[in-house]
Amino acid sequence: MPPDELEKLDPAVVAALYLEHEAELKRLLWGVLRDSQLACDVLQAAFVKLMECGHTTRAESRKAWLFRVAMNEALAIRRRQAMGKRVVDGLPSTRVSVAADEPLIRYETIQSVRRALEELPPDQRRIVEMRIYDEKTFAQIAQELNIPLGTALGRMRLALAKLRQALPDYQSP
Amino acid sequence: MNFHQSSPSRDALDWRAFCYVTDELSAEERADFERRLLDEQEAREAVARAVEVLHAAQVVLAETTAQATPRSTARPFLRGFSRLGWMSLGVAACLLLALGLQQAGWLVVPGANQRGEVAEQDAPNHFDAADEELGSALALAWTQTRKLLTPPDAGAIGWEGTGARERTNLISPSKWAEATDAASSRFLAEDVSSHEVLAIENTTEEALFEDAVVATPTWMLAAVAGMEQSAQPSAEAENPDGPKPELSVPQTDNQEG
Repeated sequence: MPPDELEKLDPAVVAALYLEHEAELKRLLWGVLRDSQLACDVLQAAFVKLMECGHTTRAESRKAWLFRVAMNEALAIRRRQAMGKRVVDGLPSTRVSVAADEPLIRYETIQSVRRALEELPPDQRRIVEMRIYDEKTFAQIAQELNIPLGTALGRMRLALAKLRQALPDYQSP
Repeated sequence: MNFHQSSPSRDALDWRAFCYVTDELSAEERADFERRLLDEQEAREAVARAVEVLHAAQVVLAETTAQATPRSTARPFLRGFSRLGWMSLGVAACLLLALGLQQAGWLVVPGANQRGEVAEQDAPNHFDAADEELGSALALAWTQTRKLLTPPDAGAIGWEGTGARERTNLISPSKWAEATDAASSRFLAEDVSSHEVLAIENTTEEALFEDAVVATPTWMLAAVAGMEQSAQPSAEAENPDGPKPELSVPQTDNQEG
């Protein structure tokens, strides 16, 4: 066996990294690209790169390396496809894409967030509904509820912190 | 909007990531945050968390909203069916009942005598016309009912039979839910019943009948054909000396084997 191939990353290690980080990476890529198909393409490209030159990375920093490669690739794709302006000036809806190949969230996450939403004070929950479900901007929400913008933002931020803490993998800092 | 804290704390980072995902950042803030995303693993993980919370909340809120929807609007397919579909079914049922009664001799049609027998000279022509008329009416009623009962995109969501259903079950539950949600939202968004009714009304009667010839079920065709058979004995009753039809069994090639 040539020495080059001996140095390549073990496929089992690549597979384990994929299983461990695929979902989180996909969410990151969706957040940047807003397109499930593009996110899948970039995810694949990142793992191809990992197979090609992952052996040059240290085991403890492989996750960060993988995420950085994916992020670079996502931004490069956006530039190449001239999507940057569209994404910045008029982002597509933040609703879950119907054409997504894989769900971005797990069942237990939904259950946890459901419980957390139920426990929110009504005024916070109202802001969450208007921002996340009705997709209104904070400025619109503030105007509609006749409250200061800072109040709307503050309630959303408090609610978001509670929802985030409900995530199954959330680790307190 | 410059309302974001510059604190390096995780809470502030998560908040900024959420604002990035929900497009609440200005162009400059977005560019700054993307530069940060290239360098900081914490920032990248924060974006992934924000997406997770956002989508989970969307799913939960969508479910809550759907549950709060009144039943009458949540099941527009049945609501639409109840308008014209039941009427068409009723018409078809009445016609079948009339056929049955006439065959039993309990219903007197114009041109028939008190015993339900048709005058000899009018018998063939009269029953031909009545048969054709009732058959057409049945076929049209059946076609209209069938069109109302078939969702416009039934194939896309696997309502066309067990085969399609089995294929549909191969996809993930989330995709199934998405597909059914999409179909439901289409029904919710449109007044399907009036749409379908208009479509039917705009179709020519001839085209409907051509369709019906192909699609009318055999039991319904048999009911119509039963009239033809009932006409012959009635005519023969007036002329008992006339030639009797031969009782023959259809021969098939397989009978010898």
